[in-house]
Amino acid sequence: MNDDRSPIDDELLSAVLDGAATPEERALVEASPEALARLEQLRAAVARLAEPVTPLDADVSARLLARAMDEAPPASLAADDAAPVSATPVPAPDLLVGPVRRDELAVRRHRRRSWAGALAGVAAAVVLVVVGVSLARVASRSSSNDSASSSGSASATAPADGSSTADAAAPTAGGSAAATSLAELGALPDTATVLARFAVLEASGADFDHQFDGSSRGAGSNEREQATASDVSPAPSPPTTCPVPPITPAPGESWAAAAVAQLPGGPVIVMVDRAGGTGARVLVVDATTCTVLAEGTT
Amino acid sequence: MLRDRIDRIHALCRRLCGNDADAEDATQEALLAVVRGLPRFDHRSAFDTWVHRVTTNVCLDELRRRGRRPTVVARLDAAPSPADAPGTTLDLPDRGAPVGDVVSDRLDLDLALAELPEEFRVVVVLRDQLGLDYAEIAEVLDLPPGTVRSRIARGRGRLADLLGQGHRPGGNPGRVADVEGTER
Repeated sequence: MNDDRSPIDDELLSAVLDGAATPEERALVEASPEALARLEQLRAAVARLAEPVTPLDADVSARLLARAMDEAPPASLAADDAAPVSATPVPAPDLLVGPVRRDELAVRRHRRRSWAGALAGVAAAVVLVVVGVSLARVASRSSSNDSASSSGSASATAPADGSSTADAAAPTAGGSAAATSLAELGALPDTATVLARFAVLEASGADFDHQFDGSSRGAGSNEREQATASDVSPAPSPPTTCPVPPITPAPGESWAAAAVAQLPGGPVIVMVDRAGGTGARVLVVDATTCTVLAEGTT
Repeated sequence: MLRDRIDRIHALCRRLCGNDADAEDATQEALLAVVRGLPRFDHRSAFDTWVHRVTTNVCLDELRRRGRRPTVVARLDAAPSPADAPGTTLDLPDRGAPVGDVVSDRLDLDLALAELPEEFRVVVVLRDQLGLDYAEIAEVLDLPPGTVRSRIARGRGRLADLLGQGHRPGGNPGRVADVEGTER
């Protein structure tokens, strides 16, 4: 029904189909046989379009999901390798810490089904623990250097909606929160073994950092960082709480959560600081209490 | 999180791409884009809205990259059977119709969608396949709600006209490729 032939056009009929027309408009349509006929044509088209698409086979779904999780490149959070896709204008995203990591870690929980409850909780809580531990170390040194965290802190690295990256793929100044998968060291007897196992893994060149250097922590993200790990942990996990006040990273500090492991006393996180240039400093952090259990180097 | 949404992602890709193979590829790309984009998801929109936006962008970009409209692929020897793997065959509604008729119906719909201009195809799929309301579509596409409403109406109108014409291969710019096999 063309607009120039009738006051009842497809837009009005479409509104009737969607229940968005006024009673007067509906009455107008119902009084016109031509409009009713056209309405039925539209209704039929809508019904055809509404026919469900056959869901993907479970195996296909699993394969697609697995590839999405496994083939996301290590630098997948950086902009320069994102596929150039575009369709609609995109609001510039912020580089966030808390809620973003929560979603990411939730995805990882699906991926790591082989690890029952405890390590899944670790993976979910790792962001906050990382931030908390980093803070603790920073606080123990100096609280005077506030400027290091501000530059480039809230820079967007790439559109978060799959839209065009051609003009939005500027890398984050001063670094980015380059997160990749955490290595899973498995159930180990003690922290010394954790350090040893991690050293072997480190020597293999695996890239598994979940990095949180100073430049990725933006002013204004404090509220998010103050979330508790219980927000992101699965139900079976203990209500880990690592309150995180504003972060003031020391210049050059770049701690990263690199691995998770299960000790008899509970899950732990292996953190690494490679900023020193000669080897890396490694911490074994209790995922529940956020305390440092052991320290070493590689 | 993604497992709960993969069927909707795939449905959107299937309708936008026009065939199972492209839809599967686009679904894969959409999942990757979601995973990669998660760290930058800013929570300014609902997560599902953001996923729909990512998926739409990916699907349209896939089509653009290939420089064409959706390609409708039919395998007439792929009539429904328990052994057939979805994603490689036409998904055929069980309406008691002969297989050939149902395939034709589905071809009609895919071809009609393929002929719709992109801006109309996207909104009608989001509205009538996924059931998003005007406001959600407006947010997904970053369009004013009035524009969404208008495009939905025009898209539905065009779709109704195309379907009413008994859309067939050769009579439209949408393409049919790889019509293989014979009807059983």
